[in-house]
Amino acid sequence: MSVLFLAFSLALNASVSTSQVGFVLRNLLELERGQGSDSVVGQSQQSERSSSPASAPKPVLTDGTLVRLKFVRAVVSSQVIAGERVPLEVVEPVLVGKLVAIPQHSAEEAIVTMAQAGRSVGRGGNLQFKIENIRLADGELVPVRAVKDVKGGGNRAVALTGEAGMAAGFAFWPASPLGFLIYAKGKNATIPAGAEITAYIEGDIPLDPSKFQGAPVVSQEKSAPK
Amino acid sequence: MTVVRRICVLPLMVLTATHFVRAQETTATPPRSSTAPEGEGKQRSEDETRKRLEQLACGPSGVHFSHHSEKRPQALPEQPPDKGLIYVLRTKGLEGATVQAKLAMDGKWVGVNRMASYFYIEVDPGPHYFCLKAGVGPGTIGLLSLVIEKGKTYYLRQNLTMGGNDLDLLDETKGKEYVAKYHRSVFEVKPRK
Repeated sequence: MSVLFLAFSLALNASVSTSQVGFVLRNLLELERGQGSDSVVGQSQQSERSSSPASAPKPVLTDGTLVRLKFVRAVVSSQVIAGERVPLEVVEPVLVGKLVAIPQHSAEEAIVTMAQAGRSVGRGGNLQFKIENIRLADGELVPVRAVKDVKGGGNRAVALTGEAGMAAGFAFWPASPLGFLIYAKGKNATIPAGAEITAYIEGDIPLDPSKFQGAPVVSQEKSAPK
Repeated sequence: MTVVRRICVLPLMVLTATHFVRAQETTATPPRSSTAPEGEGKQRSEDETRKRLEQLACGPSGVHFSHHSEKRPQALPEQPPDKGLIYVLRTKGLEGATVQAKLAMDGKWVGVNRMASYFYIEVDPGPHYFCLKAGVGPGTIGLLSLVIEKGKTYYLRQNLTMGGNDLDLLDETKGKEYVAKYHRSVFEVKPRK
């Protein structure tokens, strides 16, 4: 009986000690790796992360992506002053994969960089614009490059007359019709409503899809305009 | 007694209403910057725009300059990296040989040219408003508005014609050509008598 008891107690001790040794060994190995018990949790989180879609490469609005815009109203060089902003509208959406980065019909602005009314001696006016930024669907402003230069038409008769005609006109003023031509103003530079202007995205812009949740998502069939 | 009371109350009511209306007017009118151009959002007429630009660009009347040209060769300024450099030049022409062509920027006269001369100014980046005045009477004012960029050089020509005066933005090649062969203007504002 006592032998039996002794044998049972030895077997129990041995099993406890082997499990203890196993636990200690496992801890030692972890310590050698420089990881605590938290690391196990960390590893599992990492594996979860690696399997989540967030770790997939972020969509990027690439440098040079074309944005088609149009003028909402007509702009006349004699009716604007440099520094003023004129309203634009996005003609077609800009897509990055399924994501609508810039929605159609969204409002943008161009800045007048030069404005000059029609000039004397039949010379036309000038109008220049630039677009500095465009607002994405998530509200972020991204830089773009775009300029537009429009010249007003000259008065052809006066242009032909030129400086020599001016002198002649002055000499015979007011009898000569050339005299009237001198006082003719050139045409203003005009951009009609609906005229298009193209802007290009400046630099690669990584997009966060979670910020575009409110924005419409299109089906895969539609390809991004480039 | 009630009549007297009504007589007293009525002017008080009128006074209160007037104050209320005035307060509404003052709060409804946003403060305007003296330099910011108006008319954003609404379409101005050609006349309104011209008047507004004249207000922004031209200097006060009664400012006259004494002027001469520096005949010796002049060293040209270095392009400042944080500012725009503007050469204002006046070419040879048939008109206004004896007339000074003044230039104002943002409501202040900044210089004057006679024929075949130039001067230069350094300008902060941003929108600026330019006014050319030569001679007297209608059509003697030329206007231009321009957004100046830092590190860039601009060439503005004061173009005097029988039909009116204009400020023309020249290309760099043409501008450099004129500056190389013309003389620099030296001027100062004449004191008022």
